[in-house]
Amino acid sequence: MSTKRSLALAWRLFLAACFLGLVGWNALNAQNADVTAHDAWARLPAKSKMDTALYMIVENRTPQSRTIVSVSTDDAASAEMHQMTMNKMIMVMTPVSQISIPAKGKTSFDPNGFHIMLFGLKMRPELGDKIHVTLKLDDGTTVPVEAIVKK
Amino acid sequence: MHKWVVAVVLLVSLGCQRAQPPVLSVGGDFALTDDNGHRFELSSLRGKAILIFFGYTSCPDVCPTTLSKLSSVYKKLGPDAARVKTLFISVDPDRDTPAVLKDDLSSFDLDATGLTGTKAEIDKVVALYGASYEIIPTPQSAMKYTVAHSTTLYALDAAGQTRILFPYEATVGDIVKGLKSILASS
Repeated sequence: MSTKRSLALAWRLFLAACFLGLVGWNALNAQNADVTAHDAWARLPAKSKMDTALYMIVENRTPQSRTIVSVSTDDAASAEMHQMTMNKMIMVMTPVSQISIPAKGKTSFDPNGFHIMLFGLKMRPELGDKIHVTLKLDDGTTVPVEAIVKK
Repeated sequence: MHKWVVAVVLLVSLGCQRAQPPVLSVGGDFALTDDNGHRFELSSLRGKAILIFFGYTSCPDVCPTTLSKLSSVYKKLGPDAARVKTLFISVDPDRDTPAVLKDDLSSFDLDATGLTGTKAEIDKVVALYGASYEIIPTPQSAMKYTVAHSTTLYALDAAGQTRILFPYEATVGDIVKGLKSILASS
């Protein structure tokens, strides 16, 4: 094969790879239709803070257990999953790297349990404002969350 | 006839009066810094029933939950609310400066003062009240560290003596009832 033809073939293969990559990437980040979040709310942050907690119910309608592996948001500098645990009258908040949603079941994120911590909110919210986060699942799909700010 | 009715009502209400809870061994006077940056001494609050709990302002759940609960307690106490003072003692003095405490407590509808101090001063009060806390580093988080802390709510009488230890699960009703029994004999 001549150099020109080799280069042309290499270029075509490269373009094909890019195309497949894009298609694959889109499929991976596709919204999961069968895992949804509802009743989401975020606490109005304390006066001195631009951090707050977000609560919700995540429902998994699939026959497989799903795990939330990360959380992202455009409304704050960072978002993390945390859990409150009480042991002999001592309460502690700890970051967790994943939270599972049982097959055909739901996981509640509520005060005294799991929640999403939002650090460095870009704007101080008011009651009724909406905060958006995206949950990323273990199968590469995503779950959008719209939380309403409450006291 | 009218006199008898009044007498019976008085006797019944006296009988129904809640007994004062016994004095508990935890507690005692202490000095810290209040949320105006001034020296604060517990003994300055003689004559008022006091509620004390430990926490930190970067805690998004326990502390706002307790403060909301206490706001409801104050509402239910009615005129007796003026006889109760709430003290929130921070176990995270590095982050909880007087200004931060003042700001964060102002969102709640109750007579609360935030207290902070040096680690040594706070540790002294924590030990006095049989409370506990632990700073836990969380390098994987934007938080840097989290603070595990006991959740007991202490109720003191107007002489500064500890009378009731409310657990975290205590309801607004539980706390109102307990405070009324303390105020009745104060």
